[in-house]
Amino acid sequence: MPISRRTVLKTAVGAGVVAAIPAVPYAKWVSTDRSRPDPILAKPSTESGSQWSNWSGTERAYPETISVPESEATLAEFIGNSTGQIRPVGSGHSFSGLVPSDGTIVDLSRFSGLIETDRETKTARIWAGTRLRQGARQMAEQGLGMMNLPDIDVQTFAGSFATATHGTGAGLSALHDHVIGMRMITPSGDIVDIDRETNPELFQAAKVSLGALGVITSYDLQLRDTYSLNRRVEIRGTEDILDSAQDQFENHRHFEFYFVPNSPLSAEIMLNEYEGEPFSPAVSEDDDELLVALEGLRNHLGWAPWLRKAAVQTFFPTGEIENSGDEYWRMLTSSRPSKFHEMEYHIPLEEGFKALRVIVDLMNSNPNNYFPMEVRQTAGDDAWLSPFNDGPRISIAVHAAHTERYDHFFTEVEPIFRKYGGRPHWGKLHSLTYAELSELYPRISDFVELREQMDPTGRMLNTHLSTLFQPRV
Amino acid sequence: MKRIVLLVVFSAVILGGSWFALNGTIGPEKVPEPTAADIAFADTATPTNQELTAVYDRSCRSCHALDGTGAPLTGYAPDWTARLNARGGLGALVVSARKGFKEMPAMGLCNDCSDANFEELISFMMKGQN
Repeated sequence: MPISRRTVLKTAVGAGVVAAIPAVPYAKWVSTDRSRPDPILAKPSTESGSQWSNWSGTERAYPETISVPESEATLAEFIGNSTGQIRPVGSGHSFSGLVPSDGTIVDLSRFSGLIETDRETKTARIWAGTRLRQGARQMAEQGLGMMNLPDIDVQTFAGSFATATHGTGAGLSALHDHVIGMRMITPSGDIVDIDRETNPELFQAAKVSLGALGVITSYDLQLRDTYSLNRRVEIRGTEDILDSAQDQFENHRHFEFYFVPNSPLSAEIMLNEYEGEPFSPAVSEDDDELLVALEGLRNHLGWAPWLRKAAVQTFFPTGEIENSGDEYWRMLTSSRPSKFHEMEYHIPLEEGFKALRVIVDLMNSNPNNYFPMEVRQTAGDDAWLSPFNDGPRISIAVHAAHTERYDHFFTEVEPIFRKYGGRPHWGKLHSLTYAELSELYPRISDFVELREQMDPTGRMLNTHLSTLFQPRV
Repeated sequence: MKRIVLLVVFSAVILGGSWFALNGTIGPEKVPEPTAADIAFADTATPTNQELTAVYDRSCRSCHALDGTGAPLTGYAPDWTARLNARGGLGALVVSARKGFKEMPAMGLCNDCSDANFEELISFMMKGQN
């Protein structure tokens, strides 16, 4: 977004200097320690020296091996002839502990790229380890496109489907809903082709399965003709955005907004299809600039809410700050230059807007909060473990900077999400175990039963997955 | 009241600007912004070697071919020269790829890459050709 980090930092730092008048509250505020203790203890390297960490650094592992198999046959042979723990990894973008293993982490990076496409049926087969941006680009070269994409496009197809990753759009379902078939290597080493007709139960279980049923090597996808999107970004009054959000979701193919805590302004993003050439290429770098600016204002003006709000109102632009158009996969996604921690819950539509107001009040009640909160909407689908399998939901995501504490996610925010019937994003921070999940997912006991049949020794389970899928843990 | 607030804020800018100029530690290295042509080049550049292209495509391209990700841009020499100078050469960049650096995960999304592979990939990205 077109705001100069330097300008805002100068403002913020300068205001700190001016604050020499009320020196005591300023000094107290700037000395606030918001750093989070590193929960991961240093551990000597294993004999293999293998180490793995997720993108945000919340999860770390020292596996015996990180295996990068080169073919389905090699992988099937390895799984069939071994007995140890196996956890598949995509790009490591999940915040939750889906991947860590003391055994083998299977990296599907070599299962990468588009295998084949059918222009008539608008379908494609793609290797499961393909990263979203790479796959979308290759599909577009064939004239085909995905219905929707999430914010982050470094994720693999397998990782995003396995965690029910979604984008935004009142009429658009999550990514996994467009899977029409897949190939899986089971925990016993068998290669199984799965689709809705031949094995309907496994199909509905495997679409969102957190890598707990086996290692999926390829997907068949229902696509559409590729398309272009016009993206408009507007900065408006926070209250105005909150009041109009429900209508905005209905009015645009994609709509989302970023509520900025302790700020009179927030941002909304609208994307709609258009026909024509690309125009005004989007600039992604300034999203990071905005974050730095908001942090600077928090750091130096958090002690004086009226001055902080006045600075935002005075120095931040308002109205339309971006109007650009390009291929859909260039407009919907981007890499995130700043690391952060995130908790996201999906809340039934009717309760979602009520929950939103409560969370907004909570975030505004603490002047330490500055990191924008993202609000999106996703249509329903029918995968057993899809958070959206009982209808459309509003997704509310709270964030904290990578270096800062986020314990309030669990103590203050999560209880509100749960009160309003929220289901957690499988790849983001949450504290739920089987006991709570069994109240939220009617088919989770069927999933657990199927998982136990397919993997009786539990070799696909690590500590985190055991808490999710083992009723006795 | 609003005028008083603005006066305070604008005074702050002036004072803060002085402080900022003296301090000068905020912000990234001074690398000129890539032009539209640089960005367009990065978007499409791939190695001539097909094997290397496959690895570049799956492991590097999502971040390095896109401006604004924080990763040095493929084919944009100023981004790479600044890092080479700051860290002491190609070998140091290979170590960064292996161990991870800032937003880049350890092994740079290429767990099967050797140091020689990283060197080849970095050499390609520095020039946008191999």
